[in-house]
Amino acid sequence: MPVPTTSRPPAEPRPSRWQVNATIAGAVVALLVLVADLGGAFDDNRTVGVVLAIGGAAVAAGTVYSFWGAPPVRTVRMHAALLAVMVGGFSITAAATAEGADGVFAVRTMAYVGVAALVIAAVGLLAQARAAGLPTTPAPGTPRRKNR
Amino acid sequence: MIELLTPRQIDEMRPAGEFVGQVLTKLVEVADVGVNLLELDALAHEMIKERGAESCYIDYAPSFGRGPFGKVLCTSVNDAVLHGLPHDYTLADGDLLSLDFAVSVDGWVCDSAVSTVVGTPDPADLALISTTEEALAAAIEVARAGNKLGDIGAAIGGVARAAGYSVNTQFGGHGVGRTMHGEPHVPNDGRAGRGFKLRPGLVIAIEPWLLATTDEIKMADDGWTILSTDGSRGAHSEHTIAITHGDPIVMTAR
Repeated sequence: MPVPTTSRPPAEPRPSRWQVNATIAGAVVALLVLVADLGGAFDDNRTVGVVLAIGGAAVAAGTVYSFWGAPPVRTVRMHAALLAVMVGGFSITAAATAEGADGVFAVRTMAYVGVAALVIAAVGLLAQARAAGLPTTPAPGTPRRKNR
Repeated sequence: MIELLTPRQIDEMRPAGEFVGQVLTKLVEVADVGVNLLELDALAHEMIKERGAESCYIDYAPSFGRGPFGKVLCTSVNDAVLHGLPHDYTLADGDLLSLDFAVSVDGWVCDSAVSTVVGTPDPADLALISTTEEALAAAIEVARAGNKLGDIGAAIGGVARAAGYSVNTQFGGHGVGRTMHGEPHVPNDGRAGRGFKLRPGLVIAIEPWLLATTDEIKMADDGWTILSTDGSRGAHSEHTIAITHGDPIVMTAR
């Protein structure tokens, strides 16, 4: 009896498509908020920035957390990617919610840390997918498909 | 966690593999026009009782099925390709039947599947079955210590695409041991030279399955049976194999 790639059987699961999409969406939201905040978009209404940043970071961190223990084994890079997403999410959240007037340097430092952490996380997740034997690009001759 | 078995443990697993092979051989012999799927399940159940084995299916209730399976055999007919839940259906001339069977004997599990045509075969069905068997053989050939998990997927995918079929990677093979479904997951497509390094003692079920004209699947109303979305037929071949320092051992050889 074959096992599904995307289910969560007792054996450690592989991230499903929606988890990957949710993580990407969350990270993108967090990054957009960060960029907008650095540009001063939320200087007059920080509540909007706070909500968006926390939401994006929470989605990214939470969905990546659900990848925990993806096959084939719990690798160091998987833990590193998870940690990096957590750091990235919280750093970006902190950067977006900090009062910028007297803490510009700290805000930008946190933002850079957040972006770097998210990049590390993305690389870690990609490496994990490759290590699991998943094709990360379509194999030659594979027909293009929707929703895959 | 991936479990590596000792040579002694692999020897202890052999009776389970031999029994699974015997049951599938018997079921293929019996499967014919006019035979009901429930009769095949009953026969398999009787053989399990006589052997003192334990079905891996009957109480199995994973997230990808609706409740306990309730039967001891997967019977997938025509556009059904995986996890076919036996029901009151009498096989007709030309039906493509896939049988998937796993039991535990003395605490060790083996898992295997075979596809066949009852009555008058359609050459297209025979080609589909033949391709899954060739893909399985190609995968077993590269299932050697030092190779990578991606080599297995690449072998399966390569054979399938060369024959003109596309590959669905939503369901694949798995580790086998004390339980039916363990790690690692064994995808039916991949990149050669990538993934987990195959080591002596690793026991896995390799199970290529293909659909004739699509790689899209859907769930049947019974909550278990996996169907092709376009109604095209499917075939499924599977063996449990043990990786050794030499040639792989086909535990469920028929």
